This record gives sequence, structure tokens and C-alpha cells, in this order.
Amino acid sequence: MAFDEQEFQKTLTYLSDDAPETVLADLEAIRQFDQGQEEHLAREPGGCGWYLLVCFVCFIGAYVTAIIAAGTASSSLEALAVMLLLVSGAAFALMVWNIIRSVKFSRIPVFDLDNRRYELATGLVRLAGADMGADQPLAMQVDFREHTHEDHLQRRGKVGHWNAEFYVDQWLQLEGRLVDGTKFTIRLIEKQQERSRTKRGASGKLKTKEKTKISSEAIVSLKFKGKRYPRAAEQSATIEQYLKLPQWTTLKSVDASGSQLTLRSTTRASWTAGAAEPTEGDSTCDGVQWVAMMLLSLYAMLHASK
Amino acid sequence: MPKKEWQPDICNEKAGFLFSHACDRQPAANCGNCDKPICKKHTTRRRDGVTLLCTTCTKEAGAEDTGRGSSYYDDDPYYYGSHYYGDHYYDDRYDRRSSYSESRRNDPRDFTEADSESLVAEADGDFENDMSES
Repeated sequence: MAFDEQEFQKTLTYLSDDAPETVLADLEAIRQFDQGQEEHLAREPGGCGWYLLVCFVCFIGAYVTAIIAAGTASSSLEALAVMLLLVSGAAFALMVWNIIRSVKFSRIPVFDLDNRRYELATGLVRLAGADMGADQPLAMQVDFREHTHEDHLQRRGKVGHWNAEFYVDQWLQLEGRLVDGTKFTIRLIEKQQERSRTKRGASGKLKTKEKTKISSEAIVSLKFKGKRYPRAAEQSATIEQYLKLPQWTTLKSVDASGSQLTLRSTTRASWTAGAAEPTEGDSTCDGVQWVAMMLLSLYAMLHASK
Repeated sequence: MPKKEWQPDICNEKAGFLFSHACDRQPAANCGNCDKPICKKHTTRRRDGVTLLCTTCTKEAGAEDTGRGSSYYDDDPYYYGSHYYGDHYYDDRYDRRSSYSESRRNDPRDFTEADSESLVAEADGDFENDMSES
């Protein structure tokens, strides 16, 4: 089913169970939608208050001067009065136009999506699609809602002197079957702590400090066909030797039980995906590379299990 | 070296992201080096801007010859494995032009869509993971 922009605006969640090519087309539509939203935001009337004030002063000033000039007997001043009336009319029209523009802008809902989400999803569909049949369905869910959305709130509590709100946002889930029969699941989770603290300063004023702590977690699971990888049980004892992850990530756990492998890793680095600019100097923390290396690590073990 | 006989109506490249397997797409061109019919996804343009290469020949030609430079693996699943795990990431015999042969194209170890379809009926309700957060 083609991407429904109106439905997407209601839920800000993308759900699909289509072939990789269709999912890629949908994600491209989401990218276009987001670019349109960003352009709309860039056109936001800036400095509106000052602009209105200047228009208002021009309008009043020109109008009053025109009335005074019109009251004199001099014909040259009458001409000036007509000109000032025109200036006054133009200032008035500008003022009205600016008010209408501001009201119109405020009525249109704007959804500025996190680019990383559709860029990472696109990268992962491209990777997985390379080892899937062209018509194999890919079940995908991408949640574009803010990670501080109330649905993601887990609990409120204390961290030291800080009041903290704990959010867990599982924003991406991707499931499919590769041509070797292996079923894969990829999940991306954003964990966020919103911390705040209020205290009275020496001057008696109340001061509030706020800070945010974010970490990301990626979980990759494979359920493989035992006949294809008969030595998997033997190799799973040494699975850690096959793991290669980006330096900016930390291995959380690796589990090999039966015909299932699950690898979890986390990072506090600010990663990017797609054509985003590097965040820390020249080093880019590429989210697609992160998940790709997790998949490659698990498959390195499977290749040794043939 | 004897000229290879390629199947004309299907992409003959077997490179994948995680493992090698037959490609079921229609060919869009022939490799300028080994003449293999290749689909659009398995095609790379050489630095001269004219010659098209299959994934296997691109890997052999190396990053400089194909103008991929430091972005050798960028946005292309077929180069990730060799970039992070070396050229022998998965059964490297599949990716060496010199070892291509008729028997290779019928290698019983190749994965096909039938492999995945054969598993669709398997009960795998237990595949769900524990999503409890620590």
C-alpha cells in the first residue's frame, strides 16, 4: 500500500509489511515530507513583533502628518499630504498582510521529524534487502514521535539530588527473512533521562537547572536454520571472538541459545545516519555502520559454523 | 582463460551483504571486465565514467580504480563485509573471477528464496525477544 501522508500525520508512526523496494519508496516519501516541513519552518515570519511595530508607527506617523499637511492652504503641502496618505495606506496594508500571514502560519501543524530515524531505516532496508528475495515482505515500524512523548514515559524518580523522568522509546523495529532462511529482527531504542533540580541561591532567588542524558541501544536477533549451520552450537561458545563493533559503542550482551543469536550494544555517542554532517570533528558515528557490524559479527560466527 | 558462459536472462552476480547467493533480478548491463550480465544493484561505474563493473570485479579492481575512495563501502551493502572483515569475509571463492565456473553457478550451497520459503511454515513464535529494559 502506498504511503499515506495524511494518516502518517495523525500517528507519526510508519508501519509496513511490504517488499524492500516498496519500503524504500515509502521512506523516500517520508524524507520528502520532512524536507517540506523544514522548508515551511524556514519560512516562518521572523521578528514579526518588530515588523508590526514599524508598520504601525509608519502608518500613524504618515497619516497624522498627512492630515496636518492637508489642513494648510499651500498646494505643495497638499501634494505632500496625498503622498503621505499613500505611504500610510501602504504601511497599513503591510501590517494587515503580516498579521494574516502569522495567523495562517500558526494554524498549520508542523512536524519536524528526526532525520536520523528515516535515514537509518533506509540504510538498514538497503542492507537487509541485499540478502532478501525481491518479493519477501519486510515488517517495519518506525515511530517518529518525540522520545519524550508520554507513551514513552516509564517512571519518575530521583537520581541523586535530581528529579528525573525516565523515557524508553523503542522507535524502530525491522523484521524479515533472508534467502538462507534466517529470520532477523533489528530494534533500536532511545533511552532518555530528563533531569531537573530547583534550589534557592544566596540572593534568595529560585534557580532551576535542567539536563538531559541520552543513550541508544541496538538489538539484533537472528533465528537461523540449524541444518545450514550445523556447527553453530559448537561455535557459540566462542562467539565473542567474532564480534567487531564500532569503537564508540559498547557490547551489552551476546546470547546464543539453540538456533537463536541475540546481540545487544549501546552507545552514548551522538550518532548520525545518511548524509548527515559529522558531529565530533572529523569522526562520524554512523548508525548504519553500527547495525551493519552487529549483523556481520553474528554472521561471521554462522559462516564458521558451516 | 576460457570465456565464461553466463546465463543471459538473469543477473549472474552472487555477491550479497551477509552471504553470497543467486540474484533474481533482471540484468541491466554486462560487466566491462568479465562480461557477466548484471543487474543495476550489482553495477559499479569505473573511474573512467564509462566502464561498468560487477561487484566481484569492483572488489578486485580496488577502491582507487573504481573511484570509490574512502567511501568504498558507503551506501552499498555489497562492500560492507569485505571492508570490515577483509576480502575473505564469506566464502571468498564466490567472489573471485578466476574461480568462476559452470559448477559454481550450480553450487548446492547457494541459498535461494526457496530456502526461506521452506521455513515460513515453521513455528517460530518463540522468536520474540525479551524487550524488558535494564
